[in-house]
Amino acid sequence: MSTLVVTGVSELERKIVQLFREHYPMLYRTAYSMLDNPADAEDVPQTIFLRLLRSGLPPDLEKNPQGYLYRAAVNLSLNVIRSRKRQGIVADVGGFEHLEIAADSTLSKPAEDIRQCVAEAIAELEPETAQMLLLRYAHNCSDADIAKLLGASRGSVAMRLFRARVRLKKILRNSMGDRL
Amino acid sequence: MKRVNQNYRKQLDQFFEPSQKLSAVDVEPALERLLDRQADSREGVFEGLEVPANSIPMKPPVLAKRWLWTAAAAAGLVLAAIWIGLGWQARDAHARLETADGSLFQIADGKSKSIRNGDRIEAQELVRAGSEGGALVLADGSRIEMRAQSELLLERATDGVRIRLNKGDVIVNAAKQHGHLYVQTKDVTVSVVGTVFLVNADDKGSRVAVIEGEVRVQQGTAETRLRPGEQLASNPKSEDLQFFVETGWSREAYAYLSKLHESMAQSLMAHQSAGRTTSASDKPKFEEASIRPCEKEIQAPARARGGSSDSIRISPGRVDALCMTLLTLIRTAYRSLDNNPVLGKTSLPMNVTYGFGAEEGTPVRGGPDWVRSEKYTIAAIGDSTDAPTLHGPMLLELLERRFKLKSRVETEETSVYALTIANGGLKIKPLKPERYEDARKLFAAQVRDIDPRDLDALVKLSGSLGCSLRARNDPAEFNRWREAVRRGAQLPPCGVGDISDSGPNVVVAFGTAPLGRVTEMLREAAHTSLYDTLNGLFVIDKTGLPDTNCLTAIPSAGTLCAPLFSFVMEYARDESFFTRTGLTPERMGLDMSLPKAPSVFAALEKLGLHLEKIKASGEFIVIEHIERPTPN
Repeated sequence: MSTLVVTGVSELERKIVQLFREHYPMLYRTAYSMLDNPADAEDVPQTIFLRLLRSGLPPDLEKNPQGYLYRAAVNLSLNVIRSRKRQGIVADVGGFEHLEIAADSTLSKPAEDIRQCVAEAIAELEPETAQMLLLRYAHNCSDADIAKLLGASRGSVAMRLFRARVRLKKILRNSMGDRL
Repeated sequence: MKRVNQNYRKQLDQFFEPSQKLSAVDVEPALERLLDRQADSREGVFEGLEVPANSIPMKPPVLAKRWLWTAAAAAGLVLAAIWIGLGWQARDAHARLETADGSLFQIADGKSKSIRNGDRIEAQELVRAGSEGGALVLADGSRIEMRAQSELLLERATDGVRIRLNKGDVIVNAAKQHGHLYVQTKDVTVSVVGTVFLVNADDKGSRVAVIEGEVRVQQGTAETRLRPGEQLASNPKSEDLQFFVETGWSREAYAYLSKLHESMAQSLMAHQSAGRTTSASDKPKFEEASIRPCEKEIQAPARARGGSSDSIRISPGRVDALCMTLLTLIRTAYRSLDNNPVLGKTSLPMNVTYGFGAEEGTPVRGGPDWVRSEKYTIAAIGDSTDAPTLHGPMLLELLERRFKLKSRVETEETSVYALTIANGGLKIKPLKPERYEDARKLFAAQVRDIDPRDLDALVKLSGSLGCSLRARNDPAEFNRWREAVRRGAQLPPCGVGDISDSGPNVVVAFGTAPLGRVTEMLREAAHTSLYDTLNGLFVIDKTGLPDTNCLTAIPSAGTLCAPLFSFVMEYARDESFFTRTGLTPERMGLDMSLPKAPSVFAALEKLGLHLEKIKASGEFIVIEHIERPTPN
């Protein structure tokens, strides 16, 4: 694989390119674990880095780049899931409006339906809790790794993960009923 | 409980399994795409999605900052242009890449290298467009837009720059320069100053068509001058270029078409003022027309309704019909029918590619089956700048001449709904006539893709006109915007209008739109959300207001333009809508607990409009005789 040589760019761009190279695989994997779609998984980090290219690097990111970017990827992915849930209907932007049923309707796809239930259940958790859950299950991180990455104590991570599992089970029971 | 726990863990493991099995993630192509998006000032796909403020400190994009960034980039380009411009004095033949949708390559020593925005391209370097195409800017500011799979190289000429087009299509927007710009193919040379034109080169020969200005085309020893709308093919067997279709690939397609029509209108007016118009007693007809069976359906450009099959474009001195059935063509030609159950008396707009969609065919009766299925593409040129004449009597004459059409109009009494001004007068105020030009400017900008550099100015302009530019790309953002319009927190959309569902109601929001749009909306609603209320009857406009939509047409002198209004109305949808259509509120995502709005009649009264059922005579067309067309 050839490496893109970036020339004639600002200091900010150089930093962002470096951050992208360092953290893209983790961000992609995070988004992929939640969205189950390679295109969306790529668009999540792309959206985050395009924002950074426009707005510059916030101080929090400079302090803990991995934690910041990871939180951004989880939160944006959660929003994508919520947005998918809301988008039952899309509208034509032409002169007259016609209602169309969204093509990604999952009503007749049981396996995808269950997957979507899990995704939506994770989206109902608090963002910080979802971040921890994903680090545990998608990235196989220990409590200590999670605590370090997100700037929390180990005890807090363990407690939140326990509560997250209880809450997730409850949400899934409510939404999946007999299928669980 | 144990089973539930096991299943729960299984679901969770299964959910995360794909990401754990994910192989190595390729970073460099993703980085390249990121930088491409940034260079094109594009936003992230999920940019419109809110990120909860309590979770990360990342703020939504700040417009001002974005424009600072863009301004910095623009300043860089200006400096680059100045630097390049200095080189022009020595007739330095080089260019820089302005935009590429994905793939433009330099070919040197048999190797291909991707060109990035802003890269310099030297003379004798072969440039090839990949699957998307792109645009180059020459040292003097001339712009060359390359179609996908096209190939060219730049050369120094004795008095300027030569573009050698090996294959494909380019649209050249030549700057008004001191030297000459040439485009050379294997069999023709085109020379220009301050002109916009299209060149196509393939194995069979070359074709040149002019959009604005004038070009000289040298083929062997023969030289031909071409003006706007004219074209030349080096191979007589080549088919005519259809501007309509041939510029569709360009990012500036709408701008080029508008330019072409303006240029043609000017030259036609000059032609008419020279006393060469047909006499009043002559039946108006097209001087030339090409009629060809439509071989395959045509797709509309992105975000456009017109431009696909069943579209028509009326421009000064020209009608282009794209893959239309005879049924649609006949009813288009007969548009002055009284109470025509589909479109009424509305005239087709000038300079707008008008999509008809699926043809219901109720205004036309009789004739063989093929008039309802076989489609034809027509390009006709005639000496008129009047849209109703071009798509009315002139088109009808063409159908009578080439398809041997014989038809008649019959009348029968029918019920219709009439939209009138209520007794107390209109309760909404029209836009002041002196702001009409601003509204037209805004509408024209909306029809094309808005240039990001113009966005700030257009947002200000829209606010001063009492309308807003609506979110176009992101459905979530678009829905939020719609809701804000419904609540009155956002102004209604400029020009095109918006009709949406909100719980048990329908929300109609028009910004700077003629009242004719309300009639059109009611006609459509009579078959959808208000089928029971309006009994599927046709709705006619009896407001007595001028009905020429000058936003979409270039009005001739003395034309009374339809006044423009901005308003939002909400009416209750028929409850039978769901049983008739099979749709459910759940599938449409509607919250039916929202309070029900007043009836459409009451909603209209609030605006000072009145809707009532009346008797009227309805006309329809009967085909007596028709044949397939005579050859061109």
